[in-house]
Amino acid sequence: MQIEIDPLSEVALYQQLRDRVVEAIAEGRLVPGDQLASVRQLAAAFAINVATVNKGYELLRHEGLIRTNQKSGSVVARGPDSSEASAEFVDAWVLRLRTLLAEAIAQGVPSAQLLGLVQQGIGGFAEARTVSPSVRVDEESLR
Amino acid sequence: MSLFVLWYALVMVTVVTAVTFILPALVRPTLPLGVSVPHDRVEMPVVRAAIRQYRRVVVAAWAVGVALTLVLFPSFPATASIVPLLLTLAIAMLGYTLSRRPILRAKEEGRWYEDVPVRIRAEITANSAPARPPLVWLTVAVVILLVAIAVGVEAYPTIADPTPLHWNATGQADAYAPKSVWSVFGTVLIGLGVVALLFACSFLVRLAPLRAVVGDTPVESLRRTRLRHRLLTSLLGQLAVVVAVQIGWLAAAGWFAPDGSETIMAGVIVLILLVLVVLVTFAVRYRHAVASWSAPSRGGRSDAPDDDRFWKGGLVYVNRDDPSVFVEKRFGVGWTVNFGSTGGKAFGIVLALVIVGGAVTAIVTSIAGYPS
Repeated sequence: MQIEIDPLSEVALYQQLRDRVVEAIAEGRLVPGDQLASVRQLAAAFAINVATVNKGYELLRHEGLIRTNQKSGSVVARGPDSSEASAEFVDAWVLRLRTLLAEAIAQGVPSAQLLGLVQQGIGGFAEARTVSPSVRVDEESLR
Repeated sequence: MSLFVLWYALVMVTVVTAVTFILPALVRPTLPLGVSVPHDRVEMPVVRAAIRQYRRVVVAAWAVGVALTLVLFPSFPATASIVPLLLTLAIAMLGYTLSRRPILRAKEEGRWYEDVPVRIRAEITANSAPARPPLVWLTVAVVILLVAIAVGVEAYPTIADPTPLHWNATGQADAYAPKSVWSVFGTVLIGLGVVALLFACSFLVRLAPLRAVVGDTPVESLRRTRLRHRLLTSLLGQLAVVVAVQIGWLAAAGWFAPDGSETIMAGVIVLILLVLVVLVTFAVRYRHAVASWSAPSRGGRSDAPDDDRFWKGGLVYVNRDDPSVFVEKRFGVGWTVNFGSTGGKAFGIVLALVIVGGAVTAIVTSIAGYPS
């Protein structure tokens, strides 16, 4: 599975890397057990610093989304169908969501539109999860 | 007989010219003459004109090479077979360096990358199955050489003593050695060594990354990367077969027709034809694999970032952040070294030592007056 990051963005590369992986998990393009490229391989494929990729993986590890061990390298550790999110995670996430909503409301996005956008976002991820298995098969057939 | 040498020199100059002439067609369109440009600038007149300019220089280089060969040949046949070839290459390289400048200038003045969305892309899932080594071709090559050895063993009692070891450019044997296992089978053993080396290279191909192309859909990009990998590994395998055929032929010629220069010449002609067939087939298929990359019809998608600053003179890659030791060539087919990486630096030092060592040895030997 391929991911794209913007080398000129204000968002740090490691953060983009982490964000793209989280999105891929939400879309079912990455599922628990998927083997990820090693830090060095991915840095070489992107032509970016090894430390950048390491930092991105470190974030994902800290969030419990990937797991790394000596033998099998980095593996996707959880997905939408794994165990339910921990209470601590939800608490911390609600705080961030609050800020995000506040930004939209402060800028004058109407509540109805806001609600629609949130629904659209959730629907988009759910729909992607129904399509992803066939995309994965397509990619697999090319290996 | 000596006309053969002339003919051979002219063919070499022409083949080298043909390869340098078609190179722009084997590089993805967003890298005209090794300059990174956004996909919607590929058709710009300045880009087209620069490529035409490069090709004009290449043709001029060919004319210079041919003329010099013809002038040198009557008095210095040995020089005529190498110096014009090197000169042709040098002029083509100069043409590359000069012709790409207008694109660089237009890009800077026109701010081509302003407001162009750029992305870098990579495969994040572990690459489970890299391209397979060209086992079929390599097996064919090894079988050809083993058959040659078997034939040699069979014919051993009838092989001339001393046996020819080396032939000059006119196909006449000019070095002999007393008949022994080494002098009889040495050539074939060298051939096996070369095939083994090509096999090792095909593993290097597996290690060297082929970067995903921004602008294609992910599946398309994956398919193209695989195709390029496969074409490059099978090119190595096909070259191994060509080497095996040539070595087998040379060995057999030494065993059965030690004085027959026609046999050797026929072998050289077959070699050139085989290499041409392999190269032309490869070029056509490779072109097909790169041609539609980031074609204008794919407008609206993002571009690869401008990475010209990492390519010194459009030829030498130096990127300290990039951990890859081998990267795809900017202008050409295959890989080059990242002199900014740790492995690349080590490679550069070894290369420098070899060049300096070679030069020192050459100077010392020439001063000491050893025959070459």
